[in-house]
Amino acid sequence: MCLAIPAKVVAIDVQGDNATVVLGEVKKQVSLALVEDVSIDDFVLIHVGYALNKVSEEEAERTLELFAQAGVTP
Amino acid sequence: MSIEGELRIELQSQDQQVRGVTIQSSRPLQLPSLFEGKTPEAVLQMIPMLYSVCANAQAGAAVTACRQAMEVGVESRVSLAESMLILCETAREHLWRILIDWPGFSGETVNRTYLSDLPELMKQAKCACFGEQGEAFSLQPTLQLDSEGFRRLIDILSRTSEQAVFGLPPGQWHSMCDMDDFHRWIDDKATAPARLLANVRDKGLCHLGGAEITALPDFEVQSMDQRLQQPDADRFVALPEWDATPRETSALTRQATHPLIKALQSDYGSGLMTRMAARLLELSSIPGALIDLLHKLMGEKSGQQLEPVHGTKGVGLGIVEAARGRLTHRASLADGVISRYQILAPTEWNFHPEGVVARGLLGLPAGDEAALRRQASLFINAVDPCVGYRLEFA
Repeated sequence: MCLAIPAKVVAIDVQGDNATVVLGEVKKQVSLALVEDVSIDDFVLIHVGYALNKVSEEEAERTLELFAQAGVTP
Repeated sequence: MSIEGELRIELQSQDQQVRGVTIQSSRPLQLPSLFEGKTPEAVLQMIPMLYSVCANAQAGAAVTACRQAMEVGVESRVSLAESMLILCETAREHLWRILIDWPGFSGETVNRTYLSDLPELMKQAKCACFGEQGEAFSLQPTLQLDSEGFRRLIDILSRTSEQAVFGLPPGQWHSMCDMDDFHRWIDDKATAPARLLANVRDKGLCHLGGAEITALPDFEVQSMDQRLQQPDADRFVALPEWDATPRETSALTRQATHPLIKALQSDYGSGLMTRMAARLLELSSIPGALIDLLHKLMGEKSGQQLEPVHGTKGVGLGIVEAARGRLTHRASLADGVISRYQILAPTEWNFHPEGVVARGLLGLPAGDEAALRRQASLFINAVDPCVGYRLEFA
């Protein structure tokens, strides 16, 4: 199904290799190996422990809304 | 339930061997019901947002299904450009798995230098085919080919593959048919993937997971259409079988006729070494295949239309070879909106409870749990689910 989920970046480690993202009530650690120039408060698509790419806040909200309409929420 | 769901794979051991395998999926297969009541145009906007990992393959299958259901034709050059985008995505997915997952299995670290060109690759590829503002995978997009731009992207794929994976031009690696040459390439240990394969071979893991393959055949589109109309279609999408048999669809089934894969199968069956080599082989073929498609596209007359495919009235099927295997979308239209939408993804074929992964994990040595976890992970990664998995032992 290849789903990737938008999540907000709330912390980035010193080396810039990993970030903490928030998805609903849940915090997760993800690798930033596949994205460049990520900052705190950015939204990224996450998949199996990796941030795949940055998305705008609006796009993230629209995508999460679609998931919610289908009955799947974080 | 998490949004993306996961696979739970439980290995039951007895007498120091895996004697039973249970695979359960919590993937949200109901998601396509979201498209019901929406116009095809709206669905085509939503699909890449939701299915963003193999977004081009998903969008390619969706647009083919919608065009067919609406009896909309498309310019042949557009169809070629869409095939190029999907193939480009397959290369990127293979590179990600090989460059991110594989080093960990041989105790090496990920070399981020090689990854730097990949995140923007698909955006640039779409731009080279359909322009900055163009909408790839819309019903009737306008081609705005920047052939030099696309050629540069092929060069990036080729260079990254050469430097990070093969240590020689990918086309040259792809022409390797002989087992002696293959083992010599491994022995040179010039790249991290070669070192991992050396590790697999030297630890005697080449046969690991080598259950007999039952490949998903090249079925008739009408046969799949009929199958997805049956009353048990929802169950079929969750637990697909073809001719009452679980099937595999993967890089290995696609590359099965290549002489190197035939030679490897003769020595190692469909075990770990054959699977990993099949992924490398597919990656090595893509730059050349993209150049061929680009030449074909450039030689194609502008405005030449592909006739709409006629099948069941108001129904369309899009079948695409995505990185992980064959992906099917089926769209049914009524009064201009989607009345039913179905997606059958390769992970459901390959991670069927009695499919290739379940059979491959049976019989693994279970005396040492850490070794079992490593070997099972290597094998699962070689088949490649498009979702996270949790490995448990009982």
